[in-house]
Amino acid sequence: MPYDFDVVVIGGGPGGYVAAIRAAQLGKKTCLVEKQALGGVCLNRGCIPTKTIIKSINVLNTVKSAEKFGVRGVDAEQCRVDLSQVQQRKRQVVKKLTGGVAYLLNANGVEVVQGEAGFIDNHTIKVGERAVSGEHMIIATGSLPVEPPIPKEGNVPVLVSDEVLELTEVPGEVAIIGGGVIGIEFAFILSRLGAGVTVIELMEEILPAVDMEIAQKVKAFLKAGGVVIHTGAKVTNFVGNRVYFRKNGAVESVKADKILLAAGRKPDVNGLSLEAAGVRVSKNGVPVNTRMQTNVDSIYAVGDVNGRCMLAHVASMEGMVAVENICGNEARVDYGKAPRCIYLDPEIASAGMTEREALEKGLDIKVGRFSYSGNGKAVIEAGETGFIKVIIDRKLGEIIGAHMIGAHATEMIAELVLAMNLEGTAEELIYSIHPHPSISEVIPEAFHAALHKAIHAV
Amino acid sequence: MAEIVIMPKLGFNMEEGKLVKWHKKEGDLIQKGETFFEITTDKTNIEIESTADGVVKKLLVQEGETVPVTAPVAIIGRADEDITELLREIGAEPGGKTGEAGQPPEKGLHSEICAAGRAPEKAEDAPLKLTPRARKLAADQNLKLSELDIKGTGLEGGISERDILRHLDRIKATPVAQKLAAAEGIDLEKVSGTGANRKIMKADVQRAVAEKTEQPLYASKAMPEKEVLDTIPYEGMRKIIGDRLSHSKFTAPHVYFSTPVDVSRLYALRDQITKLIETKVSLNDMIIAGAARALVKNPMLNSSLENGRIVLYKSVNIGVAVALENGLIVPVIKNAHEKKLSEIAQTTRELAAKARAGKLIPCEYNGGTFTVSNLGMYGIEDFTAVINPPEAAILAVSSVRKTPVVISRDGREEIEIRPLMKLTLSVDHRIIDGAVAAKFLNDLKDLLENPMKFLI
Repeated sequence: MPYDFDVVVIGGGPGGYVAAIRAAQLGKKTCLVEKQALGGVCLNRGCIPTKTIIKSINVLNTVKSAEKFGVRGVDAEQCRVDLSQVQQRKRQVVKKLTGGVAYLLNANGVEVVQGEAGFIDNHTIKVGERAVSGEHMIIATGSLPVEPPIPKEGNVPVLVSDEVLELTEVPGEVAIIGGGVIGIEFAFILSRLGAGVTVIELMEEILPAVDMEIAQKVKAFLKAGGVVIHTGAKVTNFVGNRVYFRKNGAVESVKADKILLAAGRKPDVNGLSLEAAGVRVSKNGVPVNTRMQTNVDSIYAVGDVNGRCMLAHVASMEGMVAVENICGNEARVDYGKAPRCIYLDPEIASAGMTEREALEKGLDIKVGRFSYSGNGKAVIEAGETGFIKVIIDRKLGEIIGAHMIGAHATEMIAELVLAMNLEGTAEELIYSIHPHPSISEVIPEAFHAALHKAIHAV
Repeated sequence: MAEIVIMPKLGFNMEEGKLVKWHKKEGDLIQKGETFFEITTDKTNIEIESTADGVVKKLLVQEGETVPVTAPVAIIGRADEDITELLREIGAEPGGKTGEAGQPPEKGLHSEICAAGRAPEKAEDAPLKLTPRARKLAADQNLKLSELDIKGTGLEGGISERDILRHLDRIKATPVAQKLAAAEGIDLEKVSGTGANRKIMKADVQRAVAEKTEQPLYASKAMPEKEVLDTIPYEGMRKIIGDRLSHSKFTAPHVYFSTPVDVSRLYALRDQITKLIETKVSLNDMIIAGAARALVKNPMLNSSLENGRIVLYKSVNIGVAVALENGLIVPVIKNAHEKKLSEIAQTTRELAAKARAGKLIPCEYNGGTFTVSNLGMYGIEDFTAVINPPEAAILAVSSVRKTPVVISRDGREEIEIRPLMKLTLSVDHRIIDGAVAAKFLNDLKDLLENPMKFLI
């Protein structure tokens, strides 16, 4: 064999490790190179840690409301989250999951090489002193938080998401720069932990990619929870612990013990020496075709680094698709049907187009809504604040988009993703018997509403 | 007792027939032997005579409709007879057995055919109304039709083969694809799926829609240099000819052998015969007669490759290609080697006339062992023909042309003007070697240049 490996994967996050396991399963001699910890940002500094903290917040919330459910003996006033203990649990969770990844890679015969990879040529990388060659290379090096170039004066307590996740004490006042998914999740976490939170967003709305009705609902309940939200506000500079921003032509400022930069993430190609392999790179990442191939046929790029869609589950799918194509099987990623979740309380989940996107595309649509307040299980769980909104094609009943805010939304969206992938229509969902009582009953109801009228609504 | 009239099976390969024309309508009196209807098989139109006397009670098939062989097409009975029960019975088993009704359809000629068309399955196992082809498909595909919700579109809700196909397709197309296909009038049977297990996806239907809408554009606007005069469906006889010829060309390696034939003496003989008998004998008739005799001497040319064996025929059945308005047909002169020239001429004339009138019956165009295709009347100098499978060779006959020829006479060479005709033999090289083909062609040439040998 002219190369050391059939497939060399650079980066052990959800894109890279899934690609490596899949390649090994398909009989490829596979190597995975990771410079930090297996599992990437997702397991170590992203999805998993944040959701672990959110779980503690949700438990706090449940315990505090115990009396409402007839459970006596809980002193709601005394209930609080011990952040250092949460951090300890978070580390356990992360350790267990990253250990699981290591075990799976090993069990599948993937050779894991620790170190930072840099290309020597299009089939060879250097990891430390070792040269590793592969017939096919998969770049899965992920992304880094963007640090916007905002002028600073004095000692400014700026953090990025990675650092916030390591806090053991709740700061008094936090300013969050950016009202996207990351900023809003942290606004939720920090405010529930007791911090005073101010969100400063450049755009006119927070969560610009989320359906407007849902974004407004999020804004309302964050505000009700004490979060101050400034939209259409441009941060001009930091002076010590003050954040200055311009809003409606006027300069305003807010005091912050910690300033969280949540202005998005950018592809991480540091130290890769892509030019040595002849791989083209732009400021949006390493461009790839639908087969996940870069401009160099034998080199693929999956996950955040290709700049297509910065979601862990999409990265995993891209990893699998890249491997299928390497193995000669034609495969593609259907980005339009990828679910997007925000883990607030209540949760937010969506798939497909927002109503605005559908209208901008000129589609002839019908919209169906159903409120959790018409659902038995939601009432039992005291989770009536929530609704589902579905968008269907008027002529075919095709599911164009589905948007949910409410309990278990991130679990239930999977049903809609499946239906969309199988090209189901409103009727298929209506005529699928849903379990009772369950919150999932809101799904057929919303499609009933889109076609005509929901059963449990007037 | 009322009698059920069925779509007859007229040839071994006939699976369905298209009812072209009813010669009687419901309520008409009809007698045995009267022309009742016309059908077209894969080759030709055939008039079907009534086998019963009575009144046409019911026509079950519309003109232009294609039905499987043995399917009921009409009921003949007494004027006052109630056929409701009978209709129910055939609804239960269209084209199949009507045993419980007491009267098997068309005893004798067709009973055997009915048996062949039916899958070996007991009636009680399949309480559904099924056409024989539907039943066969269901058996082949291992479908439990009673468990599937298939809507029959046949007589009285009977399930046809097409209904099952449609059902099978239904479960292979996504709901969105089905709805889009219905909205755009796309036949899912004609769409190939690219989804999992070749399921038809929305994109596949969209592609079909695009193709459908693109075509007229392509024809009228996008390419003005290629204006369309007319489009003719590639189907029926056209498609059968096309399929058979391409099959022949793709499977049988053709080799060609040409020779000029001096027909001076053939002309002289023809003129003499014309004076003796009424039947007009053409040059082509003489070529057929000559070919028949040459084939007896060279049986390899009178053969076919079938199921891994080369079958040499004793019968010399020569097909004569006859051009029709929308294709061609090759009626067969059976046992041409045993026929006198006048008989060959007579038979050829009759068959050609019937062919042009579309009245050939299958036994008149089946069973050929060799074919002669003559384009002499069109003044063609030279052409080659594609072998008519399963035959092994075909003779292409071109026009007679006055040609200067070098003649050796008394040791001197002279140029004379002679009527020459080019013969080109195409053979299936899998079974016929060059030398064998050349010998046959030389034997034929010798016969035609020395027609006295017909007598010897």
